Formats: sequence, structure tokens, C-alpha cells
Amino acid sequence: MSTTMGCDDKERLVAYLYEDLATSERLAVERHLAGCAACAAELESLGAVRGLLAGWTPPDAELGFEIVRSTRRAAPAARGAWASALPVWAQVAAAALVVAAGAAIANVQVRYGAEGLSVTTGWLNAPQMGPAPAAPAGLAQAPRDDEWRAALAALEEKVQRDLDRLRADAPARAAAAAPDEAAVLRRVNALIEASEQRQRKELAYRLSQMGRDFDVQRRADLVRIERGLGQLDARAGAEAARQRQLLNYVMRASTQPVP
Amino acid sequence: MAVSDEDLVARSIDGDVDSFNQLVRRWERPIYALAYRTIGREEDARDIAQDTFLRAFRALPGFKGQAKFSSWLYRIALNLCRDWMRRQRRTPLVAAPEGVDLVELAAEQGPVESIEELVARQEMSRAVAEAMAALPEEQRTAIILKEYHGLTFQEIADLQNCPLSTVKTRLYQGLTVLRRQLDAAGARGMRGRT
Repeated sequence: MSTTMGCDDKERLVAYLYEDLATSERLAVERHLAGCAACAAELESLGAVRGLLAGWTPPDAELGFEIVRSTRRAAPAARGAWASALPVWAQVAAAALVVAAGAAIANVQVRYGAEGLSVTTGWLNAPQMGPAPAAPAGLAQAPRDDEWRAALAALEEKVQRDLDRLRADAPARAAAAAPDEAAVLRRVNALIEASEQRQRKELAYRLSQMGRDFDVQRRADLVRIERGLGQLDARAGAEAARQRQLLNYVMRASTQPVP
Repeated sequence: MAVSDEDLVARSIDGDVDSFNQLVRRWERPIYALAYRTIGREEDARDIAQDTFLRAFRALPGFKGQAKFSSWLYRIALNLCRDWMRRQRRTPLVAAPEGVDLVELAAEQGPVESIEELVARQEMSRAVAEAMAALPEEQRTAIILKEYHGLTFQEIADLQNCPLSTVKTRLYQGLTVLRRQLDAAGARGMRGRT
């Protein structure tokens, strides 16, 4: 870096302004400023701008940010808690039960004949309660209707038993999970309370600001009114003086003899 | 003795949320002030400050200490400010709410200051805010980082991804434009009166 400075070396002038120069460079700038009134004036005016910038402060905001780590994931909303607790085989059985029940309601009939496999539904036809027609000779005997019903009833009973057992175990599981949930609840309540407190403080702060603002505005208005009244007084005084002058003139004129 | 930023960052990376919250408390005001002076809106500046810490927390595992933690925060906040301005598609509006500043100034100054002086100070502050808002973004950011956050020329150059000399030029040009605008607004005369 050169030990002399020219008027166009604005980078060095800025560095000097912010006091960020090595000693030798600072001395070079000072030597230049001592002999250059224009650069000295520019430096002074830039310093004055910095002085104005110092007066610009952001409004006082309530911050208080905080990072809160969640302790557990939320349960999937679409599934009930009891359903997620069921073992997989029970869920499969329940699904089979639903399908079977649907098939029974829809009066689904599956037949296998010479023309191949056929599936029919009979939403509008009442289910045929009589004995099933005899199977064609040479074909495997299809399971009878009462056998299906018995199997479905057994399955339904088993699923029901499992569900009852799960429901009976639910309070114990809930009790085991309770401390964790209670802690989360306490945390949420604390956060809500803190937030409400912040809002109350903010509201009080704003109200107090409004009150003081109103007061300052009132004082400013009073000053303006006072000034206006002063101007009116001055004008009225001038007008009165003019009237007095006019009256004096008329009086003087009226006392003079008519030639 | 206060724990250094670096130590708090290291603990935060290890999963200590309280340490990160200490960093938040330490840096939330400077980040909010940076955002406010850059975009000029109090509420949005607060949102940006909050978002800055949230993003920093999420990105913390990737922070290798190649820069100071504060510089890293400044970078995140400035990027968010830039996104905000891009979304707004306008120059930043500097909110210089009447009344609020007046009241704050009145509270600061005490009862000896006259109404005229209060108004003059408020007008000066507004003039500065408006003149800053009219600057090109690079010049405004350089001035904010230098004047209000005391960053070195090199730190500003790193944040703005530009050479050191460019930072000085931006500062000089920005201050020169400000001087012209403040002269036109009569702010320097106002300062003389107060």
C-alpha cells in the first residue's frame, strides 16, 4: 500500500473513517487531509452522516424465542389407538370378517360348473335358504352354507375376545404412558401460559404507549393552538392600532376649520 | 465467565437444546435489528429473526465452524430478508410510526425536551430510515453490518461474497447518497437543532 494518498482514493478514506487502517496508512491519510480541504470536508460530512445513523434504532420488540424439541411423535390421526395396538394377525382376521360379512350381506354366490367359475351377487334377491342344489357328479363338494356361517361365527367370536382383552389392557398401558403425556401436557400448558403472559404484557405496553402518545399529541396540539392564538392576537393588535390611527386622523380632520 | 459461542454450538450439536437456546437469547436482538433495518417492518423482522434461529437449529449438524456462528446467523438472516423482499417485489418500506417513536423519544429524553425538539428528532429518525430504504440493497446491507453490527470489512466481504475493495466502495457510495438525501430532507440541520 502506498504511503501517499490521492483525492480519488475513497476506499482509504472510508477505511480511515472507520478507523481500520494500519499506522503507516493512517499517517498517510492524515498528511493528505492536512493539505486538502476538500477531502477533509468530505470526511467531516461522512462522519456527520454516521452520527445521524447512530440515532436510528429499531422499535423495542418482545422476542424471547425458544427452541422446543417435541418428545414424541403424534399418533396417526386416521387410525384409532386401539387399532394400532392390535397384532397383525388380528387385523387380518378383522379384515377377513368384514369381507365375509359384506359377502353375506350382498348374497354372493360362487358356482363352479361345466361353463367354469361364476360369481353372482343378489342385492335384490333374498338369499336362498333352502338346501343347496346338488353338485354335478364328478365335482368336489362345495362347503355348505351352515359350515361357512359356523366358521364365520367362530372367527367373529375369537376377534371379539381379542378386542375385549385389548380393551381390558388399555388402562394399564395408558397408566404406563401417563407420566410422559402428563409432562408434555404440563409443558404445553406452560407454553400457553407464557404466550398469554407475553400477549398481556404486549397489550399493556401498547395501551400505555397509546396513552402516552395521546398525551404527547395533546401537548403538541396545545402548542399549535397557543401559537395560533398568539398570531391572532398579533393580527388583532395590528388591526386595532390601524383603527386607532384612522380614528385619530378622522378626529384631527374633523376639528380643523373648513376653508 | 460467559460460555463462548463455539462451546454452546458444540453442545447444541450434541443435542443440548438449552445450549442452543442460550445462543438464541444472546443473538436474537442483533438478528432482529438486522432484519428490521434491512426490511423496515417490525412484525416481519420478528418473523425473520425467529425463522433464522429455526433454520440454524435444523442446519446445526452441518455447521462445521468454518465461519463464526454470528456470521453464519447473519448470512441466514440476510438470505431470509432477501427472500422476503423478493416476495414483496418492492423496495423495503421503513415503518417510522408516528407517535410510537415520539413517545419512545419522549421517554428517553425526559421532560426537559420540548415538543418541537421531540418532533425534530422523530423527523430526523424517519429521514434516516427513508434514506436507508432508498439505497441499493448491497450498499444498505454493507452500511448496516458496519455501522450497527461492527463487522470488519473482511467479514462483510465474506457475507456479501465480494472483494474487500467492493465493500469499501459500497460503504463510500452509500454514505455519500445518504448525505445527499439527508441534506435534502434537512436532517443534518435538524440534528444541529437538537
